[in-house]
Amino acid sequence: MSSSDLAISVRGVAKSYMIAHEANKEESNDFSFTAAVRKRARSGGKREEFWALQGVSMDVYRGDVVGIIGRNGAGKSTLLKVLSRITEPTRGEIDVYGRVGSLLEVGTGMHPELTGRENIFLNGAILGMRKSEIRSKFDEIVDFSGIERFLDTPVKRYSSGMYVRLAFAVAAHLNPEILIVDEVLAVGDSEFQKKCLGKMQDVASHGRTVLFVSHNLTAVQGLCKSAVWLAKGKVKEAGDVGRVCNNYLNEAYSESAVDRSWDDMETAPGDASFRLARARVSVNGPENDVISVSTPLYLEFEYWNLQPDTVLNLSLHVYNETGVMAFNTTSVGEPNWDGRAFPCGKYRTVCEIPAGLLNDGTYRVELLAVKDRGTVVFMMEDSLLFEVVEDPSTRAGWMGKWPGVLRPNLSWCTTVSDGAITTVRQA
Amino acid sequence: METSSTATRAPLYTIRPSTGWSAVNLKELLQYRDLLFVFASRDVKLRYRQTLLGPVWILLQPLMGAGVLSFVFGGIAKLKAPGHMPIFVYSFTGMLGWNVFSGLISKVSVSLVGNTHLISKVYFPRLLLPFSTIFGVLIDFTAALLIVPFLLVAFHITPGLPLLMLPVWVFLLALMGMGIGLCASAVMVLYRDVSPMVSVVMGFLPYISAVGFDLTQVRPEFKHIVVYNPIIGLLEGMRWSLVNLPFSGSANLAYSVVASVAIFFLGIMAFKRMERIFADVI
Ligand SMILES: Nc1ncnc2c1ncn2[C@@H]1O[C@H](COP(=O)(O)OP(=O)(O)OP(=O)(O)O)[C@@H](O)[C@H]1O
Ligand SMILES: [Mg+2]
Repeated sequence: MSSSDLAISVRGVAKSYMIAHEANKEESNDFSFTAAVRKRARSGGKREEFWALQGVSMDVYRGDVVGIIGRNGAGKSTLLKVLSRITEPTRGEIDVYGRVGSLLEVGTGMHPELTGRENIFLNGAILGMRKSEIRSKFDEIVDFSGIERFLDTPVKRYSSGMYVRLAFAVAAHLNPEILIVDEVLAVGDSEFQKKCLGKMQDVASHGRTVLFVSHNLTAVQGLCKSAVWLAKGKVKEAGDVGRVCNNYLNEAYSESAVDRSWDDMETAPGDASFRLARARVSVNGPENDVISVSTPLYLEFEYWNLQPDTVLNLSLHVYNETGVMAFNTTSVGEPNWDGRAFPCGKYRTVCEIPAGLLNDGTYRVELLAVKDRGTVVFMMEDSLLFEVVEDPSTRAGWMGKWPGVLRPNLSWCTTVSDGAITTVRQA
Repeated sequence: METSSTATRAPLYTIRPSTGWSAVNLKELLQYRDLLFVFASRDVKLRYRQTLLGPVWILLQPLMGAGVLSFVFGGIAKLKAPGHMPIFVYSFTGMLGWNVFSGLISKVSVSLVGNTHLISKVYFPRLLLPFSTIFGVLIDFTAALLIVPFLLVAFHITPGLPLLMLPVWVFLLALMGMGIGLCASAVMVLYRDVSPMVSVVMGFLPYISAVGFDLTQVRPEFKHIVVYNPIIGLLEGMRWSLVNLPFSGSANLAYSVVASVAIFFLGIMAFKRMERIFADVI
């Protein structure tokens, strides 16, 4: 492609943030005034430079639909903020060849006290539409949102679904040459997500340029032809969407904390009553096999009990990538040792998570050891971190993020409940 | 798509780190004027939502404010307004000008931290937020101004040609308030301590700014300090225009004019200097 087809050209963009140095752990328990001032004075002096972007270069051509992927904190949102001029780059240059509309959040600037009608004008103007433009599209927006009955009700009385629909209706009528979208698919129900994806497909098919950040690789692969993988503020790989996503997934898996062990009892995490020796996620099959939504997996913990005669239980808090606790499960009711006093020694406890329970995404396991049914003697926030990937065969063509924290495989059954009536109606 | 044919070679714009002091991009501000009015109308609409008396407050506020001032200074402290002016008229006209100045400072100073979510999620010239507060302040001023004819009739005062100068005083008071507000708003992004500081100073300032009474009348020895307060000259200008009260001579008018313009430009410069870090630290 020639340079005349450029939409955005990014050259060596770096962005640094000043972050306050973390205060000393022991001190942070001291809430006295002098301690607060002391801490403040110290952290004020000790600011550290943090490079969220470290020399990103890329060219986006007109009509490209580019997915930007990467782990949490890779710098995706920072890049979009620099591209949409919300924040300045510390170094580097970006040439922009068209009117940019950016959507870093659904409903930016909508005010709860104002009515739906007022918010359409407010939100539209904030997203960069002229007043005349909003006025001419007003009916369409209202139609699209499906809230005409509540148009003159303050938005604070809306259900959260209505709020999101109104906000999206406005955003959907944004008409920029270059559209920048950050993670909007993370909110809303599946109907909303479908609308979002449909709208982006629409924009893309009209030859406009789209930059799209998402953790939802299915959507990225469905929408984009090319992808950019950001890691620690650098472009790790760019190019064909299938290849980039695959490499990203493979690495995401090998980088997860799926097997951690501590051989030395003296230094293993824990204290004089309990120490963790190993935490592991495994699948029933070849080592390093990928965990998909249709494989059973095992969460395995080895630990030393150092206090004789305690009744020990493990409790697992499983969180998904948005920080929602998917579930809490405990070893209460475990057949061999539950309720018995544990002599000092090393133990191994395994929890099986059946196939068809977890949704695709990243899960974090918080491990708690509970003594005598009530006292937490050990806690580790990130004992395990693992990725559950999509199994395309479980999808019935639907490409958006599968909604919900879990994706349980439940049994379904349909029968003819009254054959007679059916026949009568048919006749 | 209107620009697509012309944008083939030259970029629409180039984003690069800014250095040093940057100028105000007037052309861009003009392009975003719709948003300016949208911000302004949002704030005006929000002000009286869920109030019983609604816009009546616009009239009640200055009346009650001037009432309190004349009760304290005229009724309790037994002070006389200069030139046999009724103390209520003196306070009311003082409040009128003072409210333009202080109203802007209080609104402008929180205009950034009150819109954190906007600053970190969308691009627009940041100056729109402080500038959009002008409308609300001017509405208040205009409403309160409507009371003045009644006062003039009630107290048999006839203003003369100086009335034509009224917009000048309002403009200068607004410049000064905007300048201080811009500084405060920019610093407040970093340090929220500015907010209590502003309210303390704004609570004290009226007593040395001839809002409700003339300080030099009570303590003539303060005269050489009062000269440095640029507000006094402008408030005296307001009274000269509205109720024909001559200048007291204790304030220097030229100084007030120069100070207001200088404060405004200092405020703009400070704001533009800090602007680039707003989204990062807010
Ligand atoms: N205003 C800020 N001040 C200091 N650090 C910041 C600021 N904004 C972002 N960061 C840091 O920059 C890094 C990149 O953040 P960014 O939001 O771009 O990540 P991301 O790739 O969008 O992650 P996610 O997938 O979680 O949205 C993070 O480590 C974050 O803590
Ligand atoms: Mg992000």
